[in-house]
Amino acid sequence: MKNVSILFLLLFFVLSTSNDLWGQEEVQQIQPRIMVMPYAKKDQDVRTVLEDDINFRVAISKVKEGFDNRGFTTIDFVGRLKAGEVDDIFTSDSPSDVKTALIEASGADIYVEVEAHTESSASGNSARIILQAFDAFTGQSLSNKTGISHFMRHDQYDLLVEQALNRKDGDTKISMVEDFLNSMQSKFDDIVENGRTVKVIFKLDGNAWFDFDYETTTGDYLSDAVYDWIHENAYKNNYVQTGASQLSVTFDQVRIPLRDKRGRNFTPYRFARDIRSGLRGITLEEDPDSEISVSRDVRGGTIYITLQ
Amino acid sequence: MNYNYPLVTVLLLSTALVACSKKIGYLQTSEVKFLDNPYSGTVTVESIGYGDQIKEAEINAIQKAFQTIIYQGLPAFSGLSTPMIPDRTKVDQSILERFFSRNEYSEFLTGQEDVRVLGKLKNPRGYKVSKVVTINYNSLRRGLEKKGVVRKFGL
Repeated sequence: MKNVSILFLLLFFVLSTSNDLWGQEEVQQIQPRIMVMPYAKKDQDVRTVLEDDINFRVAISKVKEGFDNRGFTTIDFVGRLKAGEVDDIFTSDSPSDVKTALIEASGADIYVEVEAHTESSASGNSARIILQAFDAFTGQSLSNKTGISHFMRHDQYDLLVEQALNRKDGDTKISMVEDFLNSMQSKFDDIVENGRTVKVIFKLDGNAWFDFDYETTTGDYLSDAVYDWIHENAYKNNYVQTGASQLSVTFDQVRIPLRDKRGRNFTPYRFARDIRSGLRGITLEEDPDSEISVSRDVRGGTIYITLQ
Repeated sequence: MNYNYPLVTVLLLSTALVACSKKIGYLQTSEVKFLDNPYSGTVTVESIGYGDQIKEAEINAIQKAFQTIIYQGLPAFSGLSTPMIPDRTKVDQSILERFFSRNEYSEFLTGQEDVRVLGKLKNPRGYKVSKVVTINYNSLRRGLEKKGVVRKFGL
């Protein structure tokens, strides 16, 4: 009887500490960080575009309002710009370097470029708006929309910008920002359904004595072992290998799930850890007694795996 | 008493057949026409509804306006050209059934005009009506997000 009581107590203790039985804590999906910024031409400094042109300010404000209406908070571009100046991240005055430094320092996963141009002709004045969203790490385009206002005989360009964003096109009413956000949402829906895309680059340490054409103790080439791992672990077996040489193997697109098997957020960093765990233990025919050393570096959506 | 048994049998059978026959229902159309985007986040549409009575047809028209925005989208208005729920098989149907059966959609109606009777129907018997409504689609989207049938913007 005493033994039965102890057994019940033990069982109760085990069950009460089990999350699976008493319910898991709610998991909040990690959201992408999005920054809305002005488009700057090659010779333009992104730091001054907003100050110099009210049309940009109106257009950016409308785009940010669109995100706000969807309950999504974006990274403040002006705030990041000021923080960047304080932190002295702009080590170069080259416009393209300034833009890159700003995007990197902001931590944005996605940046939305807003371009606003005004045109004058004999028919009047008009404004053209271009909205583009890009993945900050892969450069993948997530949404593109263009709008142009009617030609009007006034020079209130801020009104023309608003008209370009909300206008009639025949029988169709165009709400450019809503349209733009709907396109982005379609891409997000695809990510939720089919996994997010990461880029994985396998390379060799400078001191490595082997290359990817060396055979492993299982008889496969090292490049095949790498390929097999991605083949087995890409989400829904969805991946694209874009390059393989003696010195590197590149997968431009590997899909990974948003959640792991326990329903927790699964990030590129976790995937990199899994790659490292999966490849450790590989031995080469030339030196079967020592395992390959694997290190990883993750920058946003790009994973660098270095073998030594 | 003499009964004409064959005649009675035929009459009874005919009555049973009529009683068992299915009533031809109304077509489930999406006759919803975009009219205007009066304020940011709102849309005015004209919707065609069908019903045995005018009131039923009016409710049908209002529900169709919402169903079109939610399931089909409005091609003439780019802000709503993509449906809020592209694939209804992937969401909890019971929530949406309650949304319509308990008239929960009415809180997102910000304006409506009087119903117009377009005509009487013969088969099935009923009415065809037109109804103009203004819907706050931003609030509608947020309401459906809260119910968990529409995903919030993002992942």
